[in-house]
This record gives sequence, C-alpha cells and structure tokens, in this order.
Amino acid sequence: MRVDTRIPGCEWSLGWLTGRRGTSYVCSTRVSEMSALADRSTAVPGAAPAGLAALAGSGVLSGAAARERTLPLLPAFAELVPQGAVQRGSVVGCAGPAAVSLALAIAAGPSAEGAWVGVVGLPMVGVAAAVELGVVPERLVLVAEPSERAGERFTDAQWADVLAAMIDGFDVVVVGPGAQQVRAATARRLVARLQARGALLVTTGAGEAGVAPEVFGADLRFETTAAVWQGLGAGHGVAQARCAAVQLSGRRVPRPRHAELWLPTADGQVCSVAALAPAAVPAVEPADVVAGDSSVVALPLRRTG
Amino acid sequence: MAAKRSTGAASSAGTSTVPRLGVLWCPHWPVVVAGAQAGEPVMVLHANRVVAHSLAAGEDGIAVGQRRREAQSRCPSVRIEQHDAAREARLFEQVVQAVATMVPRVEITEPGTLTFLSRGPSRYFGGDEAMSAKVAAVAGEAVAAAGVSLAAAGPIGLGVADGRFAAGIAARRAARAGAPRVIEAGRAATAAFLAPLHVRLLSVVAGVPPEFVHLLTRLGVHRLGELAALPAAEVGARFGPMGQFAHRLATGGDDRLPGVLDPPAGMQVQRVFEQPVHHSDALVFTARQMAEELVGALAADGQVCTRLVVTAETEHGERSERVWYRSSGLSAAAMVERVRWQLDAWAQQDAITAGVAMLSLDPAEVRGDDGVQLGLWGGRTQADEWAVRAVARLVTVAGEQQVLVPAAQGGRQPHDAYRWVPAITADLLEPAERLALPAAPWPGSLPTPSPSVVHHPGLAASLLDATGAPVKVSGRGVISAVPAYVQVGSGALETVQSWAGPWPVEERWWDAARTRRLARFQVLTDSGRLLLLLIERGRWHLAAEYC
Repeated sequence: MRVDTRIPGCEWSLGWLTGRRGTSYVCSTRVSEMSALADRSTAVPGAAPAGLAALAGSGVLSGAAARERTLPLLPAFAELVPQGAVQRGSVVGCAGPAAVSLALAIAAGPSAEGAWVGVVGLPMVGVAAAVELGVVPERLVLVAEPSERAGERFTDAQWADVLAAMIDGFDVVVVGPGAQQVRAATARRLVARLQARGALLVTTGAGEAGVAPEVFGADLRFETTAAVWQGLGAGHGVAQARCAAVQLSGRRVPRPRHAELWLPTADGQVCSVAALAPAAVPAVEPADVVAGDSSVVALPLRRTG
Repeated sequence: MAAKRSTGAASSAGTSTVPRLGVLWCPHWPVVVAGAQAGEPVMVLHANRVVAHSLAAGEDGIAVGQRRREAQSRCPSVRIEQHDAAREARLFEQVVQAVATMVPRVEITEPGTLTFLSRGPSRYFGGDEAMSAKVAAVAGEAVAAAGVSLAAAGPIGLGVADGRFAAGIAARRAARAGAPRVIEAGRAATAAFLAPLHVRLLSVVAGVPPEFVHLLTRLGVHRLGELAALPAAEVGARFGPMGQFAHRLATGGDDRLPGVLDPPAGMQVQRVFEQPVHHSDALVFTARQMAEELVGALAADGQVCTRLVVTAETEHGERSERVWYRSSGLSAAAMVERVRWQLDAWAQQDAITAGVAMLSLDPAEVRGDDGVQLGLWGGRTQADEWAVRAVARLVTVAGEQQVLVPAAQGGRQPHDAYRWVPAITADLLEPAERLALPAAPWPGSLPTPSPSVVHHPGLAASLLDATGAPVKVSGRGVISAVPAYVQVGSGALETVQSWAGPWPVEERWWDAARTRRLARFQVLTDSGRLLLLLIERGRWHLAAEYC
C-alpha cells in the first residue's frame, strides 16, 4: 500500500510505503513519474489518464489508493461521471429506452481492463451488441433462469445464492428484470456483501420485458430521457445510430448531470456526441415510396446462403 | 501411443524400445491453407513473426521466425496472410481422415504434421517403402480433394524412422526430395543418419530451446554426430537434463521430453451406456465427469495428462478414435472441449448410424505437474481464478445448463453470431478457440449496430397495415401494404413511425430439414422502440430489439 503526499511547488513527492509486516518506508518520487507508478501498483489499472492528470494537477494526489477503490468506465462517460470511474461496491441503475445498451456500455469499461462480467435475469442479452460496445466475450458469463414454461424459476434462496456467488467471483454483475422477485431483506444482505467484496452491481430494465429490479436501490442512476434513431426512413434505409440524452442522478451527485451519447454509433460502440459529428444520414426519399400509398413496393431479392 | 506404453521402465535400456514411427509433414501448411498459387510469394504471420512461407518467398530470403518488417524488406511484393489455426486444423482433418483409413491411431501433432505407428501398417502393406508410398499418395489425394494446392509450398513429405525426431527429419528430407524416405531400423542406423546433420534441427524438429543449440555451436559442436560422440555422462554433467535429452536424440535413443512418463496402468476411464446416447450434449456432460475423474486421479500422483486418446463407439460398431496432445497438459475443461470437437466432427461426416454406446478417455502420456504461475501482466490473473471458482459454485447452485458462456458461431440472424454454451463444457481460461470468429463473411447479415436484446425463438408479433390487415410478403419479396401498426404478443398496438425492409434470406435451401426462408424488417415505433421483426411461413415474430 502506498500513500503519497505532494508538496505544492515541489516537483518531488513524498511517499509512505507500508510493508506487509507494518514496516513503513519513506520514499520520494518525481511527480512526473507518479502516474506511471500508479498504473503499475493498482489491481485494475487503466482509467482515463486524463482524469489522473487532472487529479495530479489539482494537488489531490491519491493515485493508487483511490483507483483501487474504483472501476474505470469507457471514455465516453468522462463528462457524465466525475473522474470517469465508479466506486467499487456501488449499485448502478439503468433505465429508459436504451437501458440494456447503457448497462452493457457501463460494464464494458471494467471488462476491457480485465474484469469479469456476469449477467443474470437478462437471458436475451445480445452478445454481438455487448462485444461491439466493448465487453470482452472471453470474460462474460450468463446465468439463465430455468424457463418459465418449465415452471421452475429460482426461489428466493436460490437467487440469494446465485447473486452471492456472482458478487464474490465477478467484478461486474449485470442484473436484469428477471431478478424482480428478490425480496428486500435478501437484497440488503447482497448489497452489504457487494460493498465488502468491492464489485459493481448494474441493474437494468429491458423494454417490454420489464423494468429494473428496484430492491437493490441505486447509488448512481443513469436514465436515457430521450433517444432518437437515425438512418431509418419510410421503407428505406437502415438504423445506423442512436442519439441518447443520458441523465445521471444519485446520492453522491448533488444535481443531475446530463450528456448526449451515441448509444450506439454506426459501428456499435458508445461515444459522446461532442466527440463525433452526427452521422451523415441521407435524407433522400426514394421515388417509389410514397407515404400513405398502399401500392406494392418492389425491392430487389437476392438469394443468400 | 500403444507401443510407447511399454517403454517406461526400460527407456534407457536399449535400442528396441524406441517406437518406429511414420511422420507425414505438409510443408508450410498455413501457406497452403491461405490459398497460395505456384510461384507466388506468400507468408503467414502470427504475432508479427513469420510462421510459414511459400517456396517463392523462401527463395527471396524469407525465413520462419523473421519479423514482418525484415521479411517485407527482403521481398516487398510478398502477400501477407494472418495465421488462422482453426481453419488449418479443419482442412487438415480431411487429410487425417484419409490417412486414418489406412493406419490406426493417427496423432495430430499440429495442423500440417501427423504421426503414426508404422510397424503394423508396414507389415500389412509389405514393407516400409510400399506403405509410405501408399500413405503419401492417399494424403496427396486428400489435400487435392480439400480444394487447396500444394504447388506453392512443395510436396508432402513422409518419413519413417525410429523415434519422432529421426522420423520428423526424414519427413522434411522426403518433402525436399519429393519421395518418401525410410531410415533403416536400429539405433546405429538412426545415429548414422543423424550424424552429418546440423544441431539446429534439435530446435526446429524436437523443440529444444534455441539458446541451447546456440550454446552448442559456440562450443564448436555443429553436427549431431559430434554431439553423439561426447560421453553421455559428461554431457549430462555439463548441460543437465536438456543436454541428456539432446544427447539421447543425437544417438538415436528415446525421444520424449524430459519429465514425460508413461501413465500408471489402469488409468483409463470408460463408460458403457446401456441405452445408446444420441445427443452430443449428454455425451459431453458424461465426458465432463470422466475428465474430472481422470484429472483427479492423476493429480493425486502430482501428474497432468499431456496426451489423451478419446475413443467413442456406436451401437453398430462405428468407431472414432483421436489422439490429442497439449504440451502444457490437458485440464478437465480442455479434455471436454476436445471430446466435443471430436464428436462434432464425427457427427458432421454422417458416418454415424446409431447412438453412442461407449466413450473412453485414456491417458497415453503424463508429465509431472509443475503448476501454473499466475501472470502479472497478461496471462492468467487473480480475477480469472476467482471467476472460475465462481462459475463452479454457480453450477452447483443453479444447475449446469443454466451457467453459460458465449461461443462464436457466425450466421445471418441476430442469435446466430454467438451461441451460449454451458460453462462446464468450455475452457474458461483458454477461450481463444471457442471465440475465434469464423472467417465466413455471411452475406445478408444485418449491419452494425447489433440489437442488444435478442429473442430466440422469436416472440409472436403482428405487423398491420393502415386498415388493420396483416402485412404479407410474397415469394418475390414484395410487401402487400405499407406497415402502419405493430403489436408484440398481447401488448399495446403501437404506430409505426418509420420502417425498412423486407430483407429476404433463404438459408440452406439444399437441405430440406433445415432450410429457412424469411424476410426481416426494422420497425421504429412512435414510442421510440426499434424492433427487428421477421416473417417466416406467413407468421410475424419479434426477433430482436435495439434496447
């Protein structure tokens, strides 16, 4: 464990390194090398370097210690989330029309840095979309509830066991609407375990399939307030990108923060609208399609396969 | 291998214990798979290093192990291909099958190289020369039937000799000469064959570290004969186990890596099914139990299996036997994965007419387990260990069919790109093979972004026109009316804001049982939901939602 103190106006930083048996070592390090040190000594390295530089500049250099307690998000969330990272042990709620994409995009940041992502209560999650958003498929595990048709869904005790095992083993646990029936008392115990273990719980709704399980509460709440798809016309085009207005609220966020994200962009990633100009969408109305006209529309048929 | 089983105790005793092996070597197989034409310079790269090159590229000075930039500087016109191990193995399987019709117990050492015990087949075909000519001819036909050309990389080499090392070298010589090469039996004849060869072959063929070979050359030992002439005890004292191993090779002795042992007797795990099993899933689950039993029994002795023989037999006596090898040792998950590959390949050949009645796992070679070091950067991390433990725990809590991991599959429908496979049948820590995306382009699949919610099978839905009648799509891909309303299941009727389609797909029209003919639509409702609907046999389904 290393704690650093920066003396203002001095380009050297004093550090206390606490050894395993409680021995302390004092060392001094050039401030310019601090970020490299921080990178090396964390368990989950690699948050936005810009955030670290900002920290170093403001003189609040807690580097390694702070980053051990956070999980980095994708750069797209930099303007929405302070320091571009979320506290380990927190519950993040996702709601609105783009909830699943949002939950996957939040899971993608830690996943890219080596974290495992467990998904439960969301058996219909699209792996291709998750991979495009940045979730690493090598470290993705889905726990599917036995189907409703078989009539044997998880009992409350099973939910507790499953979620406890996932919280113990995975850094990010995405919980979908399937987990609605977890009781409040169970949820409280699980959240306590989550805080002790330092994982991240992401709850999400999924359109018609249901809303996010509310029993876990939410320290941070991401909500898409408006979402506009681009590229789809009346009988022509293809959905290319969605511009989503995302609002972040929560206990530690004094007033709601807003950002506009491409969720997803044309290649399936997530990106802030400011960083990428709007996709050039052809606004051409093909001559053979007239709105309200019920005449047949001939489209070329291609045999595939 | 069967004959090697008997070598254990007497491995140092004498000449007769080294098995007589045939090695079939397809030179630069990755280049052949990459579709190189005769005279075309092609190289195949893996991790920025050349792993294979065509003859024309070799003439320009490109060699295996070079960096890309160096190779390109020697031959700027070279075509560069990326290494695709799965495809190489798949194409090579056809060669393996052809050879397996003539010789038993074919072992795939790596795609492009296979090894077999030559004594039995030689006796059957009337001598090593006759047998090797036949096998080489059959392998050549199989390569041609696989649709690739050997012209760019040279002909197949087949060598027969005592031991893997000598046979491997003989196969390389044979490839250069264009005719099978047989080295006489006996330790003296093998040593005489090896004596004039450079010690570099120790690292190229036998996997001795290049540093060791470099050390030998710096000490003035350039030929294998010079190494063999040194006293064995002195070599052992100076260079340790690796030196003893190299010396054994050079003198035509036992050629197994140091630390490799024969398994104790009776380690084979076998299951005979009273009721023949028709589903490969059920077999794989049984294989899982068997693999854990086997790995547990070996681990009690501190050993790990490096070579495994998997045998499956149907009620009608059809048999599939493959030897699988992994130098770092096969974990239970790795064994199960190999069983699954073998059964899938077997089922695809349509060679099975009945259910599987017997499955057996037989360790053919074991090694002392030296454990795995956790990686600091890359490699295996603590998080991976925890996750694997969590998966094991989840399986006991939720059931083995409920804990799933993605496996790449490829296809045109949203649910086709990846499928979910039970986590216990997959190797969680070495997922590269499971997640290697097939190279097929899948024309007709939808462009990115992909839907984040995929319903498989699709939910019942209906797409209605302005009058409330269902929209139909004709066989020629013409819609009956412009969609106006959409309803999913028994949900609310929503107004269509914009839409696109139909995008018709006709899949596997040559296969009556599995053919699919459908048309897809993207529909955006006025509440902002983007749906992917499909119509198949006149019924509408919700296939996916961009949520």
